[in-house]
Amino acid sequence: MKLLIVEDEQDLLSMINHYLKKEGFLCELAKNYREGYIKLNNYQYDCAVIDLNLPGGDGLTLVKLLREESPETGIIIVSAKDTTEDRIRGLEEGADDYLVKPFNLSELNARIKAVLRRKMNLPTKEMNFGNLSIRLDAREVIAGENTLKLTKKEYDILLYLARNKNRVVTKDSIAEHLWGDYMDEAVSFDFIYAHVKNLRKKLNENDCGDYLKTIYGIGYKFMAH
Amino acid sequence: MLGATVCSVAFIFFVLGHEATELQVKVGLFFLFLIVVPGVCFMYFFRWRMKKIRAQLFQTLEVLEHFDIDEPTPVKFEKSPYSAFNELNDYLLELINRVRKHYQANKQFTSNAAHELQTPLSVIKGHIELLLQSKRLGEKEIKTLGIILQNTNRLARLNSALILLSKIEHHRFADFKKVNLNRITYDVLNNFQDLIEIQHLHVRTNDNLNLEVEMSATLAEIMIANLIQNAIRHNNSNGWINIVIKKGKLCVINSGKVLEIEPRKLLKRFRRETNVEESLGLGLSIVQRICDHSGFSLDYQHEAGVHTLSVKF
Repeated sequence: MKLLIVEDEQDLLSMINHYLKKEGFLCELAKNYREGYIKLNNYQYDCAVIDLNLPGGDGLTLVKLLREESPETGIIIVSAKDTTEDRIRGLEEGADDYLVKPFNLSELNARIKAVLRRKMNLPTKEMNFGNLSIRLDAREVIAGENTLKLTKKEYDILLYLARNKNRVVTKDSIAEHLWGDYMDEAVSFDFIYAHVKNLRKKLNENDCGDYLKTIYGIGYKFMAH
Repeated sequence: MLGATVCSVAFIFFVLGHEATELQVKVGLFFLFLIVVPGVCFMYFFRWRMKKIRAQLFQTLEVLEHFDIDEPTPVKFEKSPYSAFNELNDYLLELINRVRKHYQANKQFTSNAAHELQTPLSVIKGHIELLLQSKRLGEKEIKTLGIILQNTNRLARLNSALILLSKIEHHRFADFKKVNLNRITYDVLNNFQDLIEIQHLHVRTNDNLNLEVEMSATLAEIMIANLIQNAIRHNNSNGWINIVIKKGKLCVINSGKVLEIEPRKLLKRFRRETNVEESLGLGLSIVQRICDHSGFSLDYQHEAGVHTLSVKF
């Protein structure tokens, strides 16, 4: 999978690169409008992550351009602008997703995977880990022989962790993923704990108990073998 | 003035009392006339002048009364025929402008600081996230990282709440339209459904009426999400929430702990009941700010563990 990241903040750019490279993505980096423009015109990407506020031009122009030139490329906007209006404008110009800064790297990773799947029916319609498989289209989880009865939030947590498999995912990023920006973290942590407890119980009943590992004080890790 | 009149009247009585000659009476009356007539004239003149001066004073006071430090319109005093008032007005104007400038600078600083903090904060968060993936971390290191992460998150949340407040204060939300509050309430409840279930809360909504309000859609969502979140968080397990939507009014009533501080104080920034850990204490003050800037009024009442927050539109 080839990605283009257009972001002017050098630290952020290298962080994103670092995180996504480990996921097996091939990342091309552009740190201003011009570099982004040249790369978009010369190469083909599976997905582009574009910051709106760029030196030398508006990221939205890049989005528009890319959408016209290459409809099959997934586009994710990352921006500090967070009003409904900004989001709508971004999506109307052709972006597939809109992520507000500051974001968690695990969130960006999950969104990229979701966009790629929607756009290209890839990587898979099904994620398989030993005797556990997640069917993305039906939003079903199969453990051994049985289909698990998961609540919406339990499914979302499991999928989010699975999309960031073998990585520590922090509780605050799970909270933001599940309830959005305006949720107070202090409350949500108890709820995440409760959800994961239930999820784990359901997995345990079907001999899939060892997938979710708690990293004390930080979050969880999905262990894929 | 009054003294002189009394003196002359006394003189006349004195003269009359001593069987005065006609000349003496005439002299007395002449003096009386000489003193009383200009005296009365002077009195009326001063009264008239005082009235004018009072009117000037009230004019200045009225301008001051309508002065709002947040309003961008410049303060204007009308020119007065009295130089003293002009001086006073000039001085006040200078004072107002100076205060306003300082206030704006202060506001600007808060807003800039919050915005500038955003990037380094997300860089720190990102690097912690990267560091966490390292295989060489021991239990102790992870624990330390956990504490760093927890505090960075707190800082980041605090910061984004302050940014939100400053954005509301700067009228940065332009997406004004007719907003259906019933629908937003329903969406928010749906989003928090699991939180409600885990705490075994009973939610009842009383919304026979469709409440539509002209306001920013983003702010409407934030306002209702904050109100409901507040009702969920400060509830008892097995408690209840009652949402009442009436004509021009939305009330969120919930069971909860008995308050130890006055409810109005909870609307202020960083005020909170101490036993709820890690709460930022900004949720309700954000609601208050939204109400202030949209021209609504927010009221908080509490009686024996029943909390009522109502917004009047």
